[in-house]
Amino acid sequence: MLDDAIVAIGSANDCDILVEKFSQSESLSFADFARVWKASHFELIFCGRSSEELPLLASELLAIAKAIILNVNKEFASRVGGLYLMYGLYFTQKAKSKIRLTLSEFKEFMKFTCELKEQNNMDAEFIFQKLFIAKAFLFCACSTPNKYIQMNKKCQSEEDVGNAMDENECRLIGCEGLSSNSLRNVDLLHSKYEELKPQIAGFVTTSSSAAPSKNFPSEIQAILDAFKSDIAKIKNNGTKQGKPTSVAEEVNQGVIRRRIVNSSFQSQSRSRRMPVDVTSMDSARKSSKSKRDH
Amino acid sequence: MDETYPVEAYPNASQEFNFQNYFRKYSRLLKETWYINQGVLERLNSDEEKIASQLGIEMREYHRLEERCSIALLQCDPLEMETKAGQLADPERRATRKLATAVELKALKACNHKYESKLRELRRTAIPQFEQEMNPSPVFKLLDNHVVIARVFRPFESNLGSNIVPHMQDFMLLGSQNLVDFRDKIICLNDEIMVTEDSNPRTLSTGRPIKDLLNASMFFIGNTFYSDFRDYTNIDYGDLIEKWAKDNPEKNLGPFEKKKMEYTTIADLKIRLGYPYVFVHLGSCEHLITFVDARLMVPDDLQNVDEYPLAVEADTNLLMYCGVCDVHDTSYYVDDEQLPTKPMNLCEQCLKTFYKKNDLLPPSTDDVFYKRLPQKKPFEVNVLEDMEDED
Repeated sequence: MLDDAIVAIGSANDCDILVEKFSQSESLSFADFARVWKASHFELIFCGRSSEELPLLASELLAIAKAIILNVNKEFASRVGGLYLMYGLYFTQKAKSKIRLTLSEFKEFMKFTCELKEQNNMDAEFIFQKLFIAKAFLFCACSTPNKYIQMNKKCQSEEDVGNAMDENECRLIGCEGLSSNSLRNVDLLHSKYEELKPQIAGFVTTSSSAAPSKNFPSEIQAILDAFKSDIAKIKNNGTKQGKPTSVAEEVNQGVIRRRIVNSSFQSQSRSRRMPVDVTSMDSARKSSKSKRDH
Repeated sequence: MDETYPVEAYPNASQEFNFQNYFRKYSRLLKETWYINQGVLERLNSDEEKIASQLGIEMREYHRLEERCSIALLQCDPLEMETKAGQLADPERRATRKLATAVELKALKACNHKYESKLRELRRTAIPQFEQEMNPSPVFKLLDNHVVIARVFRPFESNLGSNIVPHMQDFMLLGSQNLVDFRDKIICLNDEIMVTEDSNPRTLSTGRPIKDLLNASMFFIGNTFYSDFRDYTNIDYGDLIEKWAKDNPEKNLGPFEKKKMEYTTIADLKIRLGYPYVFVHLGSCEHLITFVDARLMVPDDLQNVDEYPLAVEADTNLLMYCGVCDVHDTSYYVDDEQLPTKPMNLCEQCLKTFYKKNDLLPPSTDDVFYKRLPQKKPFEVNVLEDMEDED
């Protein structure tokens, strides 16, 4: 589900937190849900978006709520929270997106509504009927049609929303406290500390479990180096972190050329509308510069 | 077709559907469960009565539930906005403090170029809104027909897997319609090429568009050729390809089936959503087609079946971005040996940055030729933007 989200970044996290808070309340009433919703300022979820994004955002949020309801591993209270969330999102959205149900999802949803009847939760039953009579449901063959419109995109590294966070991670790694100089200083200080420790009167030789390991500065350096090389690999290969590439992916000349260009221009994203010939661009710039200088 | 283009290469492609069977099964299940009281609901006028009937409660109980589960309980009290001398009054700041969504959105918006690219991509590729009923029927009824949404791409020879192929049209097709109805609505600029009896260019204006002379076309879906045999002069493209496949057994293609387009409905096809199929006309003009969605019809959809298929053309205005910055719309056509490609489209800012010397833009010459492009029509204002403004 998270992988299918194009616009609703971070929303699955927000929805999970909201529903977990609701499930801890005493009753499964809508009033309790409304209290948690307002405390979380969830009415602001559509805030700050351009009008092009709103229909797709609403659609993805409704899909997230549906996934919570259909998740049989979650507690019943969380699933009821998912239904209330779906109701809230549907009637507060600024678009006209609907809730999509495939045949298999419909069968699971039916089981859920039967369980609602058995539990005699009038609020939840009322809310479900409100959605049903308002024709909020679309009975379809696929849950997320928007993933099919990206069929042309094999390499998504530049356009991928997730990469915005990669840059933030790089900034964290590159910050002053974690630079190699600082870690070297920490290592020096730590080794001096280890030397001085035994000289203290009454020093206990066995270290406690809460104490850091003796080589912790070099361990931190090793972790940071591994992290940096992983991020560099991601940017070079154009694959999502943690996701295996498709085995059957065609490696053709155009794709190899694209990878070389991407690795040369890592900090800037390029348009794919026209193929970029790096060598001619460079020579053109150099010759124009030399002409202008003359 | 699966042997040549393995499904694994399209990880987003769905399972194979025969929509007639799928939606027949779905409708039957709906009528036995959620729509079991359809007869009763059809006779009731208001939504309140329908909900009360479904729950088996009186209207008094209904109103009590309505008050307990009102959407107004989720909406922010305007007085709450004015807290702590307006510190948290700004909704975006409040959202950023509370919601991961807002924090991640802020991170994305911090890189303006990426956010603009994303919006541009959405504008270009999102499934459009098709024409809907002005006054949808309030009668609560499950409709039997289903609709399929297809996307037809521009013709191209080879893109080497790097450039995105733009699409030209999106269609909403009825399951009960024939493939010929779909074929007739596909528009291709190559159809308008004028041809004459002789090759004299002066008589070109009196010629006829090539589509009047070459009517043959076919869809290749699954391992089946669906050819257009409405005109007796149409050749069978499937025949030619099958012959070529037999002459080249090392390619391991076929065997193929052949059917007539005019006798095949959308509901008869076996389709994977998100998987590319092909439409061929004019001998060698090939268009990729994907089916992106299929669902049961709803009262909001246009109910007059004669209007289908509904077509929405892709907005070509969106494709012209500056070749240097890729952010602004192009204003100038530039022909210069020193630029990476010849010719190139530049925006005003990039043109001035590249050519302006001592605050003066040199005139266009034969060596460095530039011309201002005609003004484009302004974007139509989105109705949703108006709704936001009103809020």
